[in-house]
Amino acid sequence: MTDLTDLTLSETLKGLAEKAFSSVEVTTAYLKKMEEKRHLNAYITETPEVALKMAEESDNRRANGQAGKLEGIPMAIKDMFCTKGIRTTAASRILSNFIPPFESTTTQKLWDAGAVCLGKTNTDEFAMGSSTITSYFGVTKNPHDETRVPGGSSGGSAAAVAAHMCAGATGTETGGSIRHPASFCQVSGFKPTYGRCSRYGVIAYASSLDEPGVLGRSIEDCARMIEVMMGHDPKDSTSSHRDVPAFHTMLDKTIKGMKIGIPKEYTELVPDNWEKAIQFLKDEGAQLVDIDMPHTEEAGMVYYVVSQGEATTNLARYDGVRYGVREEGKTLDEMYMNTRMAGFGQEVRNRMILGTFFTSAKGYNDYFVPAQKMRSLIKQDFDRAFEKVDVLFSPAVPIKPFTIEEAKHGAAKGRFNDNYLMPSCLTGVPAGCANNGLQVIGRMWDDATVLKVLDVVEMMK
Amino acid sequence: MSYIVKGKTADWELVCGLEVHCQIISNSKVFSGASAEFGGEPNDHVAFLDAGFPGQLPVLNSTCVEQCIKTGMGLNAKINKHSVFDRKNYFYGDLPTGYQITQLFHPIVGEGYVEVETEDGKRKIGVERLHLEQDAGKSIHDMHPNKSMLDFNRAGVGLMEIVSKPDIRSPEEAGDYLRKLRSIVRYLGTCDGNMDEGSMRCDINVSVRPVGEEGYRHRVEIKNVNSVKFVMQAIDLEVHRQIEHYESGRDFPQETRLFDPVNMETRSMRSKENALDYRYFPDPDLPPLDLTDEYIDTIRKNLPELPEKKKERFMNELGLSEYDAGILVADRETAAYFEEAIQGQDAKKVANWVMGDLFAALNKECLSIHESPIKAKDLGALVGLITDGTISGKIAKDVFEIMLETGKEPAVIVEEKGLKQVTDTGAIEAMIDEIVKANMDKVAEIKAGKDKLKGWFVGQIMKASQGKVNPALANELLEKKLAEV
Repeated sequence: MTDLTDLTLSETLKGLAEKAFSSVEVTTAYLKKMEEKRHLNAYITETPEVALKMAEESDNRRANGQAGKLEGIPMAIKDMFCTKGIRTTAASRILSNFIPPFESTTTQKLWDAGAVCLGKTNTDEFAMGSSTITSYFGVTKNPHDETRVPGGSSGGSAAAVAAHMCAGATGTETGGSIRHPASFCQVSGFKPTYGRCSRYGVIAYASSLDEPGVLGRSIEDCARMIEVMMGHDPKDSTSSHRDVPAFHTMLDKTIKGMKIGIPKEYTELVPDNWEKAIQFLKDEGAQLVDIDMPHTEEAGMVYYVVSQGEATTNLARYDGVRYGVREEGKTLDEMYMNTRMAGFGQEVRNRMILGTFFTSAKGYNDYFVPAQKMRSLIKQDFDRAFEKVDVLFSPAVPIKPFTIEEAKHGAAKGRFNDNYLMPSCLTGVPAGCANNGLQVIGRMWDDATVLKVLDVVEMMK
Repeated sequence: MSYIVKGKTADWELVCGLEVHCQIISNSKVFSGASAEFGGEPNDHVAFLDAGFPGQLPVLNSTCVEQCIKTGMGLNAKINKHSVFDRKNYFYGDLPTGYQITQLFHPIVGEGYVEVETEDGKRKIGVERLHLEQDAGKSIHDMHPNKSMLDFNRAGVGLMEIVSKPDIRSPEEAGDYLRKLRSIVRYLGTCDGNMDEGSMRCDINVSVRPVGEEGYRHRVEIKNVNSVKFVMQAIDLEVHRQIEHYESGRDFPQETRLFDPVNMETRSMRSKENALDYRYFPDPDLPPLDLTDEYIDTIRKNLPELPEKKKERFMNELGLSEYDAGILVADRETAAYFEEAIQGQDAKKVANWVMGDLFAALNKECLSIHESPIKAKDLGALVGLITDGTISGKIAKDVFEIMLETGKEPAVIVEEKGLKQVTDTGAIEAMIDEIVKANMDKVAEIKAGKDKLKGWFVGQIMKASQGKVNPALANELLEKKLAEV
């Protein structure tokens, strides 16, 4: 019998629909694979009992002719999404005992569509990092080379997808946290337009940047998951009212006549497959246009000021008073300090301190306000570009995954680690990474075109 | 200016502004679906958002927005079509998210004013702004020897913070400003204005300067003073403390102080050097609030009549004096009671009954007007019975007492007790005949010029009729009879 975990999500859906196998069988196969590959440390929490129960219920629904869009598909959930009754940690010691009494909107939509929960995947602590090295639960290993990191922060999800420990996974992006590990683990990743997916129940890092998204083995798999997760949510005031198209039916495998922009600032360093990719797009009939994005260089600094400024107040609630880990003290202030000192790792504490400075009376005028102005200029770069082209095309991360050892010595701080990813997060535009490490960025709300082009990019041999 | 404090070196005047926090009347909290009701068991009214759980997001309650706009209109203020929510960051046990959502840079309501009346006449006290924000929870420190308890029922209830300009020049003005403000929010139904329950709380900014000096000196903030009387006392105390410091050459810090009504003093809470940096910045979870003209206009059209307008109307249309009108509009319930009572009745007479007998009776029983045993329409009906001659003013006082005890309608009481004024002239004439016949000697005296004795006869008539005869009618018939004899 073939290994059911070798099927893509789309193939699994077909097999389930044809009754070639049941959700319980597929789920069992994934649980077995999770056990085999547990040393990768992709999951923080595995939920086999929940998974089998959900799979059984899914099989019943299918038998009753009530199959949803993801009926019976076993999925992994980044541990930034609150899952009712299932421990949710943000990979932090401070939440290491936190069991949410509510479900995030996007995961609820997945379960409502029939998906099955396999467990919660590793991430950098509070999604702050690009290697999972800051996780309280230890680093995840890259399935393609276990001495290397999977990227991050959604590294657990990317590794789980790459190692066939799930059919698909959720992730979150703040500064590239889906595309980065997708690139490092050679899987597909998609971050929709900011506001497309509800942030309700997703543990906040930097609210104006955070956007839930997905990782899968193909862009088609990503399209199937993300169209279920999207849609207006009255519980999130920043969520969009726009209709959600059935993206997976819009992947028509052609980019003939499309105008594709190549930002020259995004080609300073390119991976091995870059020249081949350019030729491929031309062969497919696309018209390539050189684009200037003059404020790309500044995006990194703007990202750090905005994200850390917002994060420092988003994380103020972790004080040991109402939930999570508490370290006692003689006074309230001492309890706060002991709790937050012991509860947060070094990277999170560093960002808290910087963020506190950036939002202080002095730092606000010197850093936060200029950063917001620069953010508008970066947005203008995109607006101007999209007057000329339909999408932008570039490498996602032009470097190879660094080793775990290198990560411990600050490799993630390298310039080429995320400078092609951050500008699109600051502007909220949709962006994705194909399973060959190439990225496509689109206009606000034009998620469909981004997915369509990425799908073609994945046809490149 | 009446409030000038004579010091050793100068005449000093007060410069004072108030920051008043008003809890908004709404069913649910400003950013969560939990009940905003006062009271309940501790932590009964708490949504996950109010307890600062991860992943929880604020969703703006439109009722709270409407209440702010209404109040802004009551303050004659500019309604800002564009406003923005900011985070005010600080750590405290009763602040579950570590920040309060408020509006620093772009408040929902801009400049306006409140008109106060003092001995010196009317003055406008400027309002700087009104902004919408969340209340914090409550820390309870006396339930456990070494632990503090937290009640989040109040956490996230909507607050309007109304900031005045430093226009207040006397404790009396401060007191009247607060009373006016309370009256406005009560009229509008935007806040119940109960200072003792904490649904209206006041911070006072006080500084002094020699009369004639321009600019402002050191300012001291007195936090959380919870009655009009205390606000006036605290200002007076602080003014004298500051003057004493200036005149003895001692400096005092720009600081936050607490008012202690038991020891009648203000005490230092924290100095400005230790002032917190609240690290305000726009809340990324909430888009800016943009209001349309139509929305604002609809609210304006449905605005209830405010006390100042009502007072004018009482004076112009009902002919009440400014003083009477002022008393009757001072609170919404009294005005509503009065307006119900005057339906079809003589408004001035009703006003006299409300401010005289009714207020006295309520005061005696320590009742507020909405607890009055006499319904407004019944008081009106009582006045009606006097006007149409059914009962005399004197009998009316007795009927009023019975109404107070029994809550019965006046017509019913008059019927049951047979208090109807005797208007049958035949019956009265018969009564007079009898009295005159029995007292012919006194009639003779009257004839001889002792006119005063007529009064004695009227008294006899009233006595015989148990007060049921209209005195004017009794007089008229008596004159007639005496002329006949």
